[in-house]
Amino acid sequence: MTTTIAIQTRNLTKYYGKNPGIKNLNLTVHKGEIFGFLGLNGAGKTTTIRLLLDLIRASSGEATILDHNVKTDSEQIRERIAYLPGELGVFKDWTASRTLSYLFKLYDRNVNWEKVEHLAHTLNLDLHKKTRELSRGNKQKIGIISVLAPDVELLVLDEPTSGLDPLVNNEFYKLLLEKQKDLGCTVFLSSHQLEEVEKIAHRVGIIRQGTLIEVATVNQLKQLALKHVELRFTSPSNAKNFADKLPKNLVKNWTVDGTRGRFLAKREELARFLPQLSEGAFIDLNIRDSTLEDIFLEYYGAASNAKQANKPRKRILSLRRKEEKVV
Amino acid sequence: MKKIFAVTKEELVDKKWFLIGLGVLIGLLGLYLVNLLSGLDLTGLQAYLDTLPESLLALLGPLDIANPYSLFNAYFFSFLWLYCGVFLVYMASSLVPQEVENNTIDLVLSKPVSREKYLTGKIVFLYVFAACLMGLILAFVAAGMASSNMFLEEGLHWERLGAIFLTATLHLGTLAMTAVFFSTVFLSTKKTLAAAVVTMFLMFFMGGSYGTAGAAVDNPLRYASTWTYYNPAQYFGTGNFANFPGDLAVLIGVNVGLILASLYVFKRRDILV
Repeated sequence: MTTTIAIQTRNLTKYYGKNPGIKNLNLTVHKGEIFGFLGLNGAGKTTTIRLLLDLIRASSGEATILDHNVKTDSEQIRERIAYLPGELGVFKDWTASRTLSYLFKLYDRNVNWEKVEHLAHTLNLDLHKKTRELSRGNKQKIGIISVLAPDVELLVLDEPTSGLDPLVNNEFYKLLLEKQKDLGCTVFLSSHQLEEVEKIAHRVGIIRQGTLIEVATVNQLKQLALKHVELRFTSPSNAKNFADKLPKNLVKNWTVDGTRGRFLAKREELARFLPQLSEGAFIDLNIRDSTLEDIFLEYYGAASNAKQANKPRKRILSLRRKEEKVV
Repeated sequence: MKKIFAVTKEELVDKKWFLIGLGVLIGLLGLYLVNLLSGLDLTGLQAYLDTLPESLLALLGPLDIANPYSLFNAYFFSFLWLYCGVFLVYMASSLVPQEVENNTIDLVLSKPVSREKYLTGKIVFLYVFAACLMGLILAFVAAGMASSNMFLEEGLHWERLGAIFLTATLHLGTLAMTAVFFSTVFLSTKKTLAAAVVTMFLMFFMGGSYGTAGAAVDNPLRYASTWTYYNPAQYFGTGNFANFPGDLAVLIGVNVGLILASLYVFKRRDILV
């Protein structure tokens, strides 16, 4: 019986000796969705992916991809998926063309070579150059073509844009979204860059120290994230005056360094600072989104304080309830 | 099979010049030796050897220097493991670990090829390499024999070269498969190379002297060494094939055992990068 689930893990656990890589990971990714898998380096993202691809074996628990057990049906699964490793290794003495041709020979079906040439042209990659002569970004393009050229049902991408310049980065996401739209394939995207995931993911999961601590839609996460506001004043006294007028219950982490002042505020409450901003004698204003690290600080900054640590989760649950009511 | 041959083919394309270079170099050495021996007058040396005590002759083993086959074997085929084996062990030690160290294994094993097929592709390559290498070397030796008066007087026994081809390929196979087995255990080129080279020399000292020194250094431990079952002195030197089927069976058995052990270990282990 086929289901609508692309990836499912049940209590998936992996220990490296005595150190846990992931612990009791329960994850569900639906078919056709773009799922962002977020976490800092060493959080367990790559361990999860390597378990799903059967490159390493679970200590306990189980996982299925497209209704197949990852351990027993690994080859069948990999016929239907494509994977881009985080640290892409290439055959140094081979050309890009030979590398791709070899990789595609390992599929039972034929991969359209015209598509490969089209992708290489779009990404501006010389297929006939030896990989040792290519820059890191160009090597990464080989990996990108290796996942975008075959028609598969699931793409597993581990830090896909590392080493790419911004133009190619944008081109990659454009191609990925086109492919996802055309084939309706599922995308499992691991990254520690929230901006990257924010662009395309429908849902995200956050993993910390091997434990999945949150699964939410990007909207929910965005609402959760605090904005970083930075102001530059004409003088230190103006900065102090501004700080005195700030509604203390709405801002977090106010710091002042000479003429520079910084604070954090919720996205939806930014409008409430406008009166203060209009009165403040500032000469520069910068408001930026939270990075993933900022969100982690929001989640775990006060990890020692259990109540504080649970706050974001409570807020996500409340957001979900609100959304369900609307629906 | 298509996937296994895809892996084998890429390895062959990568190492073709190494194969040709090594084969031609060792082949030329063989050709040179055939010509060198053909120009020697060995009757004086044989007369001197005949004066030596029997116990000393036993130590030297079944060496009949008046016979070009026996003499050539003592100089060439008995040391073939050293000429070719070291290179083959080095290559076999790095085939899989190098892919782990360069992270290319992730790219390959994330494609629809099972670990067994991937490793089998590498193993097939090693046998093809060993067989082609022996083929090239023996082609030069055969050319030398055919143009040597000494061998022509003794008669050209191509079946002896055929026996050398089979047993030397299988013997080199055991050295390579030992390295492959260690590579699946360690997944590290350095550790694999160290373990495989130590094992190779250990095996040589346990059983390598059998071919030349015969019963004088008979030792029960030698039966555990693959060198005991590689007897070019018998097949090529004297044309004695009495032990040939048994030796062949043991060498095939050792190769198969090491292949199965490698596949078993590689299938079960984590591929860490």
